[in-house]
Amino acid sequence: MPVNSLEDLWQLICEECKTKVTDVAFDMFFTRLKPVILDNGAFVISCYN
Amino acid sequence: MIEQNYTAILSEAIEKIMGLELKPHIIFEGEDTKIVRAELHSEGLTFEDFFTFDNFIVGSTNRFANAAAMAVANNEKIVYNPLVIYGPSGVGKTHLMLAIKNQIKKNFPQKKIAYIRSEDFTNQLINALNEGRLGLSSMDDFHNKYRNLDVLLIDDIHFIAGKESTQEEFFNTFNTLYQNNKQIVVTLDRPLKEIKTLDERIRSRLSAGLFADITAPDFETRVGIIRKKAEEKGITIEENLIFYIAEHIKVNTRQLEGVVNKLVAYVAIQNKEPNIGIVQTYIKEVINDTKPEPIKIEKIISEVAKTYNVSESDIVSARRTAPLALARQVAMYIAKATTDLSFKAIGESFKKDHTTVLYNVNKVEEYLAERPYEKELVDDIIKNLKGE
Repeated sequence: MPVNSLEDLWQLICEECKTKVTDVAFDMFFTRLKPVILDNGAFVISCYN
Repeated sequence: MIEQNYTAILSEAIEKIMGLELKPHIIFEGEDTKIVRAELHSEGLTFEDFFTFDNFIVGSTNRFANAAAMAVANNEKIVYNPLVIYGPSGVGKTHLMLAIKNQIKKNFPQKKIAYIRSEDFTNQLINALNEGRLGLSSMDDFHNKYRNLDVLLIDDIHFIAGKESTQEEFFNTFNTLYQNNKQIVVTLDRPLKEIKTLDERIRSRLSAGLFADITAPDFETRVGIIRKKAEEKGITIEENLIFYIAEHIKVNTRQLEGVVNKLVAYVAIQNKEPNIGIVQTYIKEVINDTKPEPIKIEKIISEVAKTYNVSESDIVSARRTAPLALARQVAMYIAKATTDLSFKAIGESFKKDHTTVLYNVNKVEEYLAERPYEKELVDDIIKNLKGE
């Protein structure tokens, strides 16, 4: 999968996280996150309640 | 709770995928993203900080430039001034500039240092001039910013060729710094003698410095770059595949890095070692991805405006003063020379009909045929637009 966008990159990061936590934890927490910006060393992720 | 429990997992995942230690910052609904970003930037970590001498792969084609750059970065006293690093796009000139900056910041934290691309230098100067005219600030602010430095690093200085105000400002900045025994480092994308419209005074000042060229990396260096990038990103690439990549991407180090990035993604998703078929696919993709972007009319107008010292809005206006008319005609000529657009499409961008564009293009051809300096000026604009 070529990484052409922040979303592509986020997909890869999520796949990696998935291997580290249970499915329940992933669904409960990581699916609530989305990338906002990766710029000048800052990776900002938003979380909705 | 998420931040407490899962930031570490996210950090590890980011490091594994991107090969960078970036701490993710989680914001919650309602928080102002702009404020968070400003706070992050104030922590001082920027993308530029990742370019160091440690991760610059040295080979026969860049050894001299690397040694000169290290000498500048590691000596408190001036050793080479100015240092001029030149070579084509994608061979590591900017990496060396940023490595100098980062090393000086580490070695001599008290030194005031600035790295800027010459295009940004030009834009800042234009803004300062405009704001000065409006009484919002004075040119003194601009002068103070660059003339009180200990080290000035200006990337792609060829971009100022032909731009009178910028050349004047750079010349004066250069003189002030040089006379005060301050370090200046610049990069060029070609030898000085090929940049015909660079001010003779600047040419003369630069000529007094040390010239270090970087050419395309040789095979061994390319192999080294691939190995280093793979190692940084935590993947193993078989030796025969590394050699295959190095044999097929010969000039641009950014393309080498692009293939490694794609392989990192492949390993992360497929969880298996890449094979020759995958490598071949990614090489093709990277070469296609890095084909130069088509030149846009807006960019042409912007470059011509800066060179002829007129505003972009005036170029597309109906005003007909002589300098403006020439700038407009040259912009049309360059649009025809560098894009696939029809006379009609070019005309639409300038609010003129296609016969006017045709007339102007022919007129500029005749005008340039009789004026060698103007011809070199236009050729330099075209080279800058094409990134040659």
